[in-house]
Amino acid sequence: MSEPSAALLRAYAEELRELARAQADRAATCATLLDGVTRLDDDHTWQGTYPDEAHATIHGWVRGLAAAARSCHDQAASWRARAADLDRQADALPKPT
Amino acid sequence: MTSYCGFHLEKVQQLQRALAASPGAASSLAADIRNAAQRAEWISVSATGVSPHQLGLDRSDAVSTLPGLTAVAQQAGDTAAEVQRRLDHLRSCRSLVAHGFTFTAEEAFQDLPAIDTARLLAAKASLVDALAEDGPARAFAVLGVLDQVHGLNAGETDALVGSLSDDQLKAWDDALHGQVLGMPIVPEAARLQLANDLFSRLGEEQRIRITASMPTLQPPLDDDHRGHPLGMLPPADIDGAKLEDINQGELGDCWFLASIAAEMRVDPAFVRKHMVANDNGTYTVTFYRDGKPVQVTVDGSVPRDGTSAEFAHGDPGWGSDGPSWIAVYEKAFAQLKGGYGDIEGGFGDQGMEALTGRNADRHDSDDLSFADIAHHLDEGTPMTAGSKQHTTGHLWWSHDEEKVEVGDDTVVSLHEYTVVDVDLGAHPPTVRLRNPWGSNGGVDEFITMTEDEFHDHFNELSVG
Repeated sequence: MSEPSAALLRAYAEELRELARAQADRAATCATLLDGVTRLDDDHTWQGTYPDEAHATIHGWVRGLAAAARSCHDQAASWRARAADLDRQADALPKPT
Repeated sequence: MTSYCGFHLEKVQQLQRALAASPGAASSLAADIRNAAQRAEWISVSATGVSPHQLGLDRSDAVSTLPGLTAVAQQAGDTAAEVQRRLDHLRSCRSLVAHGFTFTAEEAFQDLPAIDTARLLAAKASLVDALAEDGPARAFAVLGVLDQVHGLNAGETDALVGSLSDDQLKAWDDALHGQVLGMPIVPEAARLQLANDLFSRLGEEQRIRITASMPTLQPPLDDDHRGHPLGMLPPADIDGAKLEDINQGELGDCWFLASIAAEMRVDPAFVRKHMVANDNGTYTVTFYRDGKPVQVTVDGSVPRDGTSAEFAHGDPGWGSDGPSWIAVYEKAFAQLKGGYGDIEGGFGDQGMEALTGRNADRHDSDDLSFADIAHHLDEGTPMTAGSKQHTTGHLWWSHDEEKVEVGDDTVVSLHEYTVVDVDLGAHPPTVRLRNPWGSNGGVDEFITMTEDEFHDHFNELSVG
């Protein structure tokens, strides 16, 4: 596999930064996916055995979504760091003289 | 604003819609996350030629199976559908308030079908009129209403029973055993159908009421056991059902219990394939009549003798009043057959046909050698064996013996055993049989016999 050029490395770095931005947005979407449900899941909407069970189920899902969101955030951060690496790699390549 | 029984109808509907939309959103989001991760990996590899693993970027697998998103994608749709069913039922309950029906919050928000008001009101009017009659006239009138009750759905049946007083339930029960000239007015098939309808359809609250108020829905006890109170067993462990749970009680249904054990020897999952625990505390067991499946639903109450289950009982480790799937299975079979007394006495082939719907055969034990039996068992065929009536003395001085000693083992007379295995390599070859009395019947649970001993003491073999 031949060494990529500096221009190509910078293009990759830019795409990784763009992917990281989009992944961070997805993390936010993930964390708020059930907001429309949790906003209503209270004693003003329903009460009793089944609502209590549903409440526990929904909160389990919300915790899972929060974990998924954290995972996406971590991923976005690692891609940004990788993009910075690629920029440094491009800078280090010999320049045409 | 519309509220009923602690439920704000519009808000519950909004919550349901938000819930229903979430699986699609979760799936789409998971796909976008996975695609982005795969693209990022590809870039890393293309930029360096180093694998994503070495770069610490191989997280696409973890992300593609993000458990939080997967759970919402897979489960929230079912929950949304259930909330909608409950909401529809709640709305139909609310519409019945104007007709004098009352519901608790738990009853109104049950997972039961919505109610057809006209159908329910018509059935209720007919039933209440019938219950207002006296004596045989009431039984005939109730008989005329049973088809109408059968035509109700689960939600309607629950609302109907919930609208009747305890006295009306008792009057309904009286009508079910009404007689004229010594003959029952409500035929056994109609009683069984009503019991199935009520036990399978009612929510737990109304099911508990009919368990308490309508004893005629239970399988009748024979004269020897009449008067024994019913007691509710703890929930049965159907998934954990094992051969050792089968311990015969005072009922002469060895043939039925030995047949279940024979089926379990062949298929350890047999019980959970044929028995379901329902949410309302009842159990539905599938039997077969003329090869066609028949489902019987019963509650978990069984006849008790003091604190112990009187008939079949479960794992002795629990004590005889512990959870017992076999006591419920036996009860459901008694219900199908018309009463506990109707399942006393029989043969393994009859039991296996009722349990599986397959044809079974009964042979004279002399017709099959140990090699034949081993061949059947190896092929996965369930088998039972019936013992002879053992007698001592001769002619006028002979008398029947309940059991006989054979070597170190005890053989019970006129008793059906499960054929467990044959050891053709033993010298001489032996067969091992299980007594459905189980481990606490006062005799050996398993007995081992040579071919001569077997043919001396057993005269019947049933092949399932």
